[in-house]
Amino acid sequence: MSMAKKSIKGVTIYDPDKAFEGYTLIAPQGGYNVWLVNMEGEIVYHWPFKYQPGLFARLLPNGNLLYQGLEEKHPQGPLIVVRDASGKVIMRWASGGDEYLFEMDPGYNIVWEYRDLLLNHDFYPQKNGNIMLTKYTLVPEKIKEKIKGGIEVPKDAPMWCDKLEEIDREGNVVWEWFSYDHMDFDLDRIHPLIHRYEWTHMNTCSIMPNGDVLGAFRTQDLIFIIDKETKKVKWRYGQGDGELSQPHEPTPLKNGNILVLDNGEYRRYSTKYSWSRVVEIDPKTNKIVWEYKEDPPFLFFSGNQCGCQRLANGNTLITESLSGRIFEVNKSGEKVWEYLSPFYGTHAGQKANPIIYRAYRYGENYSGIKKLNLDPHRYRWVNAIYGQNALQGKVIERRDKP
Amino acid sequence: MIKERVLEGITVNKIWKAYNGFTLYTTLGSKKVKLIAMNGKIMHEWNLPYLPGLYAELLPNENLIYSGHLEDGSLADFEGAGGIIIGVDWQGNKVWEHKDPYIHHGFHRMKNGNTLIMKWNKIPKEISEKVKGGIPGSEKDDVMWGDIIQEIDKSGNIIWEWKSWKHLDAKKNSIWPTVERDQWGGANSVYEMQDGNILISFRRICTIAIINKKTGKIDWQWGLHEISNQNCAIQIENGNILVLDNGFHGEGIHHPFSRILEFDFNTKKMIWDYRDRDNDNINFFSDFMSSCQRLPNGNTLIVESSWGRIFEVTKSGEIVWEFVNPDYAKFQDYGTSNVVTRAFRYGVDYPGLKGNKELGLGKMIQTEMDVIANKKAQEEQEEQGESRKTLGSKEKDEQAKVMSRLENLGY
Repeated sequence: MSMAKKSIKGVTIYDPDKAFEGYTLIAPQGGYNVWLVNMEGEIVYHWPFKYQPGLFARLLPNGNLLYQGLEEKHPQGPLIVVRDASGKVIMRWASGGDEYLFEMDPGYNIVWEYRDLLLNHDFYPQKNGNIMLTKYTLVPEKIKEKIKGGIEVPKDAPMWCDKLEEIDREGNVVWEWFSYDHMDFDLDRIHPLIHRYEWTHMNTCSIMPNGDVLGAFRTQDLIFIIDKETKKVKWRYGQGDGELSQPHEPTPLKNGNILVLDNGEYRRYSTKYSWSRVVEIDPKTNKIVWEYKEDPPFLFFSGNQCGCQRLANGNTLITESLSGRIFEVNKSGEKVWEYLSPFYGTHAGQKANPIIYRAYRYGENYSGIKKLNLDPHRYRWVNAIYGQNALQGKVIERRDKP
Repeated sequence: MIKERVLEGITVNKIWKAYNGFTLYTTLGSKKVKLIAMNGKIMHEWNLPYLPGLYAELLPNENLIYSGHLEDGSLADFEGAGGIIIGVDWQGNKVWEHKDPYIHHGFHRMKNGNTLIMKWNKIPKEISEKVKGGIPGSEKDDVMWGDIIQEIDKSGNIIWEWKSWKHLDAKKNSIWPTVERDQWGGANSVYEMQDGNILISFRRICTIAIINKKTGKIDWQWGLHEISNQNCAIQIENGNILVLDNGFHGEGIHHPFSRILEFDFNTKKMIWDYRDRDNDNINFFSDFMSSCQRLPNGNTLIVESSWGRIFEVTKSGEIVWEFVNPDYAKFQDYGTSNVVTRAFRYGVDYPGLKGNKELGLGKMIQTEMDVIANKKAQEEQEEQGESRKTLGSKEKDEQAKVMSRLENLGY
């Protein structure tokens, strides 16, 4: 165990004048809990669950929590086990996902439940109550032959790709979309360093203000917009030289731009080291209008997962998943808040890790927050262990000053 | 900056399990080389005339050998660009030097006193055209560079030479798909094996190879589809091979991580490895540089360069000593960082340390080592399940005194 890397926990940076005041929702992958922490890193609300998080949670405007669940020891997404001639397992492949979707009210009652073993990464609640879901689906055999790239795998191995399903609260499918109907076999190859167990890897389905779907294919270095009516892909970005590599969570912004976390695993021309960044793209010109990179760049890197959220004051909340680090930067790239997750736990057969897939910040005036009775005192015993911050009261002192 | 995220200086120091001695390290972008004691106390500092090309090593004859970086070299932006290798004494006086603008990465001092070095050299077009892989069209000004390995004597004469492009296979040893075609091979470590043959790590083709010193042929190569963008392939005392697999751009890996591998030289089978098993491989990863050293007590000293972290692990993977470099320096696109390029541990009885009076070695070896031995015995007893002898207050006082004396001595 590295003492140097594991000793500092909780809030490490906090500038109350510049940060976007609110509460941060986290669902640590190793555990059965979803936590809401305040700017000082204290726990102010907690949801206990029977299942581990598939990936993350969202707080709805009515104060309910929408949460992905995964039964213990179940793989994340469909599992492919490859054995050699003697029957020895040489590879276990699973690409991330979950099996339940729950809605829990502030009184801890589960008010809605949905189950499908093929649930993929993302779920996006819409105003009319419907939910857009990403799901795994098999690539039809005829199409499989046409797909280029990737590392060869045993011939009889399945190849997965994605479908989108919009469901109503009775579970009826009201709209669906299959990736193999709309993607380009020449452009959308599998990355040369990724196995052919999966073609497209859809980790996001954000809904645009006009109802179109904004998605990301990690293994194709691509983010794209699907026209909700025609189902056609009407905008693509990321595959140009040096644009994106293995991106996550493209998000539509109020100004019409798109924010995306560019993970940077397998980034071309980054021969010396890997680095992640967050970019804001103008989809009309395909130009990058804002970028955040750490200095030195290799100190902000997570090869997979991660999320980004534009906050109401113009700041950006970033989740660096693998290290369990959540931080907020302002327009000029200054770090104004940083939190290192103290929650190490085991998940899906893995060893204890601090992974957080996506965190979300909710402002004090968000209607969902107002529905909750936030009280750090109620969680004082948990806070004694997990609620300490590395600032040792420095921020509180500063706040008291006129 | 990572000051907010990690502790700096010594964070673990279980001296009764660690290999006691002094640690030599170099900070990227700084002209200082430091020798620290087990408690982090700086015992000696060299101020050198050049930035590090990569690292420094202390030789048994009490000279420090150091690869320097010439900032005006034509390939100065290549990773590991050097240009000069110098030997200096404890006071920093130059005793030896070898200059060549194309020298890169490290060096290896051979048993016969000669030095093995790595140099970049242009690959003839008719060969480079046939090399597969890499990002198409990304040669450096239309040129692909290869490696020359040279054995040079004290006066700089070339005793032996090997050219990589004459022996590597343009098809089989293809360049990694995500990197530039400005180098083929990308040697980053060279080591003289016990039988006189040469062990080389080629980063850009994810391969380590043994070159027959007599015939120049590649006797053995390994790594493709197994390791990715590795560093520091060395042979250890028992004949086995140790290599640091950085894990940069690894195949089908969802989250990249680094590890140390030990190979049985005869069977070429992996017999030991270290990675951060406690935390799902998350807390040990460096894309670049980094090093490993097998210590006489069986422990392994590891450098995780990108975090400036030097740590020692036992056979079972327990961290018994850990240090994070508190010095920051600026260098090229590595920004202002505490990157440590490589580190070496020298035991208190290492001949190369004898000439330095500041270290107070004589005193320490006699009395203080006994304390360490006692503590070790105590721990072993505990492991065997025997009840631990409870210390009386007198004995406790005595132990505290000895421990504080140890601290004063730099332990």
